[in-house]
Amino acid sequence: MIKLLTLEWNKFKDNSVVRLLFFIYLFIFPILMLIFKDDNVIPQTPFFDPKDIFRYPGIWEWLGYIGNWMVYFILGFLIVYIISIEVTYKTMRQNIITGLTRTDYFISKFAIVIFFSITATLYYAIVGYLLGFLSDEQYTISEVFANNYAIPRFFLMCVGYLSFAMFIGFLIKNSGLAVLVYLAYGIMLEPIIRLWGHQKLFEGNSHNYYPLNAIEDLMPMPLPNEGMKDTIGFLSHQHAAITSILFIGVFVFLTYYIFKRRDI
Amino acid sequence: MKVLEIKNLSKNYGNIKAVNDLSLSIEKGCVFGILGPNGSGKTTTLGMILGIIKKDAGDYKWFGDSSNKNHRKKIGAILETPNFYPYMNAENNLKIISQIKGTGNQDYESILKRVNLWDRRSSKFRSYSLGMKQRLAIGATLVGNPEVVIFDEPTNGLDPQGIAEIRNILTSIADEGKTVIMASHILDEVEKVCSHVAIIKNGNLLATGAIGSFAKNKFIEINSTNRSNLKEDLNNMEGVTIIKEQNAFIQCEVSDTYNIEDFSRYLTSKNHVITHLLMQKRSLEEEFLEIVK
Repeated sequence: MIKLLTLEWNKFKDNSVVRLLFFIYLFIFPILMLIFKDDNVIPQTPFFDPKDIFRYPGIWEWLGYIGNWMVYFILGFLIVYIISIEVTYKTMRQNIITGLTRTDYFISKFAIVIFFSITATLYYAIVGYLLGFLSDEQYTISEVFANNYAIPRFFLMCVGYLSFAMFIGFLIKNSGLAVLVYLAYGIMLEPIIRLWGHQKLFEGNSHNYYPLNAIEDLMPMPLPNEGMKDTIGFLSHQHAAITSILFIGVFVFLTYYIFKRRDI
Repeated sequence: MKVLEIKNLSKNYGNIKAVNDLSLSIEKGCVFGILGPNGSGKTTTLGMILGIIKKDAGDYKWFGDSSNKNHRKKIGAILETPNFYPYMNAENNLKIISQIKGTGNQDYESILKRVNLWDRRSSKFRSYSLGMKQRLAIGATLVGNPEVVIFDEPTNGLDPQGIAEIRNILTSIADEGKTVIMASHILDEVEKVCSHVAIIKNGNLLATGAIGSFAKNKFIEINSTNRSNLKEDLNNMEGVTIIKEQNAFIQCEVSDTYNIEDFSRYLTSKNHVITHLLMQKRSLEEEFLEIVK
């Protein structure tokens, strides 16, 4: 596994797109939080004090929600790019000819998914800790980490988005189209299917159990109180987590299954 | 020892039989050409034995062992086009290959010097000309000093100088005693480089054997001062058939075992003074055209 990860590192360390996006992620992720420092962005209401954004446990939710967008758009894009570009360059083909087994190749890509997820989660924890540390209030350690499993939720969200990205990257052989489908599915396709199709046909809230929606609900938009969750239609953390884990299993299995069987 | 054994290998694309029940075996140390027109199934066959195209039927064995998943690490191969990371330089691209093969760091300098790219080692792959890309691909097959190297149309699209360069490299690789498998649609290339050949058309194996082994006959070109009688005398000779007459010589076909000394002696006894005498084996091109007819 470490060997395969080193191989991937050597393949992409000189790639300018990968470097650029990785640094953009590192910079933008904490900087976006500063937008909320401006009082005009989120006005004070009787239910909600914007200062909560920078207080625990609010930090974890707000930072996690920013991460939600960033992981999907930047890290997910990177995963699709890293996988589909090797199809375009035909280096995937050459890697197999040179001696990797298909299983090795699949593991090397899944290892990136896990590596990115761990790195992003660590970064989330560090930034979350630093932001609280920089605010003027004093907390005990238990207050800092009393965050309703925010860190494992963030990790699961990363693995979820990135497994989906991996699936699309392997499924669609054209790199441009793969990126397009990945973004379009999350932004438009799934919401359209859910809200204009599924919801019209079936009673109840089963339309919330679609993969990207469930993964998104692991780190949803922070709400002033828990009661609003049902009204808006967010899944509970438990339901989101279980649904996400199931879909991660499906994506990983399907990716491997398709890749093992087809001509490359 | 057999390096590769293919048995009844088949691959269909819809209704098209890309490779049809193909069987062949390749001995260690030979330079084996797979010859066939474009679209005859050469690349599909190589793709299957290299694990990137799924076979529909049949089997193949590398090094006498079909179960080992790591056999490709002992083979250096390029298929169709040189495939490298365009944003990386030659040396780093070769490093990726040795990392996959698990060979540790290699003598990249001697490999790159051998394919004449040492001066350009730090340029990115995307800046290379087609000839340089092909040469790097050939260099890449040498990483880890594999027992078997495979080339697919190695001179495709190159100018005459590039073709000559690649051929020299291929010949020198063959001279080292490596087993070389080369697919090509260019007869001349196979004839110059290979010791054995398999001829494929529409996915079917038409013939296989040592180069020249298909030839049953030889050709003799002859001319003498007494041209008017020459034709008659040749017609009277047993085992000699006149094929064509030209101003400069008469071309006849004789059997493979025909004794040229008797031929010459007979004509001298008929008072011919020979001004032109040339004996030729049938060229691979002629064999090829004969076989695929």
